[in-house]
Amino acid sequence: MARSTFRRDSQGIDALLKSSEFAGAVTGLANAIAADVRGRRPEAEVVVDEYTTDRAAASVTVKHREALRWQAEGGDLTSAAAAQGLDVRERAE
Amino acid sequence: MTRPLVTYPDPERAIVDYLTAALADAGETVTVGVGVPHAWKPKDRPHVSVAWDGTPWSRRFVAIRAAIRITVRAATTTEAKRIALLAEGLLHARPGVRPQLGVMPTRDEDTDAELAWFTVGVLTRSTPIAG
Repeated sequence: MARSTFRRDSQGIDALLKSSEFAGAVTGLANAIAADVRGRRPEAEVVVDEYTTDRAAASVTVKHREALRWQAEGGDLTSAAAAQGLDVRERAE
Repeated sequence: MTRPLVTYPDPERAIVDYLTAALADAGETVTVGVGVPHAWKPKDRPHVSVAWDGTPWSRRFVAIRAAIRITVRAATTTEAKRIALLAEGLLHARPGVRPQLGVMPTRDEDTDAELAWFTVGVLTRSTPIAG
C-alpha cells in the first residue's frame, strides 16, 4: 500500500494568512458588519480598523456611549456577525 | 432521490424553557422570556431575556447552530451579574451549548435597569416531519 506523507508548510501558511487576498476577505466581512450596524444606528460612528497579528485581521468599533446597551438589548454586533456566518467568541487562550 | 423532510426545534424557545426550569431549581425567583415584560421596572423581579441573534452555521437536514443572547435585568449590577453568571454556568452544562461571549455588565438609563449579558452558541438537531 502506498504511504502518503504530510509536511506542513508553515512559511506558506504564514504568507497566505497575511496576503492581500486574505486581508481583503477579512476586511470585507468587517465592512459588511459595520454597514449592518450603521443601518440600525445611524447616530453612531462605526469604524473598521485593519491590523495584523499572526494573520490579517480587522475590528469593528461602535463609537457611541450607548453602544454596549445596544448590544445587550438588541445584539447589534452579534446579530450582524451571525448574518455574515460568523460566530463571535472570546479569544481562546 | 427523495430528500428528507425535517424541521428544527426553536432554539430560543428551548433555552427559555431550560432556563426557566434550571433557574427555579437553583432557587432563583426570576422571570424568563423572549423580550422584556411590558412596563418592567427595576423593583420588579429580575428578568432574564433570551434573544436569537441569528444562525451563523447550518448543515442542511441535520442541525443548525443559533447565536443566543441572554440579558439579565435587575435593580443592581451585582444582582444582574450574579444571575447572568449562574445562567451562563447552567447553559454551559447543557449538551449542545458552546460558550461565546462571557458576561458583561451595562446599564439601561431609560429604565434605570442594571443589565448583564452574554452569548452562547446552541446546536439544534433536526427532527423529521411526519408525512
